[in-house]
Amino acid sequence: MVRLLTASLVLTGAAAFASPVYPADIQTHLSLSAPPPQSCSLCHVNGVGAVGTANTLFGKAMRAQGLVLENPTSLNTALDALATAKTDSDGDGMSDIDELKAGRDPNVADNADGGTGGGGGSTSPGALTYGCGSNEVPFLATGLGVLVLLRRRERS
Amino acid sequence: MRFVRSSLKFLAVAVLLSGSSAFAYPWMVKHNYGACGTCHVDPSGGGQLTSYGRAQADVLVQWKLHKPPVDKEQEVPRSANFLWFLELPDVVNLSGNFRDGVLVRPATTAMPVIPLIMATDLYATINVDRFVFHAAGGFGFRNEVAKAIVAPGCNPVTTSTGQCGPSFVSREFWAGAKFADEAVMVRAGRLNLPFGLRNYEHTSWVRALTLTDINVDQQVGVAVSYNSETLRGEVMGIAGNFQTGPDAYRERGYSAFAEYAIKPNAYVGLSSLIAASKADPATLAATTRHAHGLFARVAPTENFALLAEADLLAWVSLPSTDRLGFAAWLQGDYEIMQGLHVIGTLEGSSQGNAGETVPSLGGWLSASWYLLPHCELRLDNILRKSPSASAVDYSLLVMFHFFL
Repeated sequence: MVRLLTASLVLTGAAAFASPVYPADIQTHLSLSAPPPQSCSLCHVNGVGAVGTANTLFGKAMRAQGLVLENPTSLNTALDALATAKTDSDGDGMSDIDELKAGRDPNVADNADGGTGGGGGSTSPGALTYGCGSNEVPFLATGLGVLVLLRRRERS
Repeated sequence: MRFVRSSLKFLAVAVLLSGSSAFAYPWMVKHNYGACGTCHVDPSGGGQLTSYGRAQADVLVQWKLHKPPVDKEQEVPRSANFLWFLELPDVVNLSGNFRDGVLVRPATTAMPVIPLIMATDLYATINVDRFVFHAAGGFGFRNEVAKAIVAPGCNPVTTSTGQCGPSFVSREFWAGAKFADEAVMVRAGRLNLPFGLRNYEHTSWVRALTLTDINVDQQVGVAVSYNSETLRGEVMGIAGNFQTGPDAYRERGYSAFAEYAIKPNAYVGLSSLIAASKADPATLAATTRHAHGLFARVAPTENFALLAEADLLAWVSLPSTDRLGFAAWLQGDYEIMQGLHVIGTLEGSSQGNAGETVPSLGGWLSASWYLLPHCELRLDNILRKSPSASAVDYSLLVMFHFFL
């Protein structure tokens, strides 16, 4: 059992359900200054990559051009095909590839910048991040405080 | 200590004589037992087992070629203890949950075989009078556990791979108090969302699309649960997942379920969830997410259980976007002999996306073997077809699960 667990730990450097290097590959292929800020959400519904969830508008457009799991070549081919076809998944007048190069979201139509495109990047809340820091401390402190009060009341 | 052992013996005998068991898994409905909190620390089921639940796992779940004579069944198995041998005082409950496996996808050329670490959690629960303090902690990799990551803080965009590295994760931590002869429990902290069948297949569409799986979809909030022989339920006010940020992505709302026992072997329930965020991770638009549905657990015979759930889904992003979808799950679990299960499942879903004229469909054929105390070996053959895919996607999941 220990051996099995150890082997699993060692082998787990590989990707699981999604395609973890794709955001970085998009940056390289399109010569962006950074990976798309949407990260997995660019293609995956609900933000976390998993098989069967590459269903955002952009994700579907990429899959229609041959994008498959764990295959960077298919990613590059699909990006090139979208660029050639000037595909505009969200219908806001700016092509998906142009939106990515402008740091915008090709899944979100946003006509606030003049009515002919612009994507949703203008109102972006920032990239989704993970890790709690001290965010939960107030909630935990409140909960514990309530329990302490209950216990004191019970004793009295 | 003697009292604990005696109590366990009494409970085990009582349950065995009545032909009942506990909800270690949803299919345990076939053993006619209604109160999840008897076997689980979480009053709505799932996760860490109580000492009684550990004993039941060995008595009623573990594979046995032949059922032992009644007088031997009355002995609480020593392997029900922590680390299979260590008897802990009543106030402390320590255990762990480990699920590892391999995903095989023959049609994928780049990585047809993918090793997986699904869970590596240690659990600790302290019971002081009516008060309960519970925490789970472990480690995970990449974005499969992103929503549960505590530290180090991770921004996939800034990493060279676009993914988070090895991280400490905590799926649950909460404090609670029991009232009304333990029928009512109030909890605050990071909790599983009370919704639908609490099934372990966390990639099933009923769990993945309602965001109520017990792998990564816990949120911070306050919950009140009720458990009796015929009725159980829980209502939770959701304050958000504070292990993600910025705040615009966090959801606020409620999640709830209620389940009623029509007969000792037939349960029906309903669930409801409404949660709003200022930015949906997929669309970045302010979105209110709805999920409302029905579920049922029925055991026509002692060896067979049917589990069903159907949920209506809606994503409302005023004023222009309003998607409607659904997720459904029907599973039959047949226990060939104690500890050896064959499971067939049908599922369907729609996310209401433009051009999605037909639903996604899936089928699972699974086998589960509880070969040793606290150990399960499981195979899942999963076939799924989405409207946009030209072929059926096949994957084989081989999972080894054990708990301390």
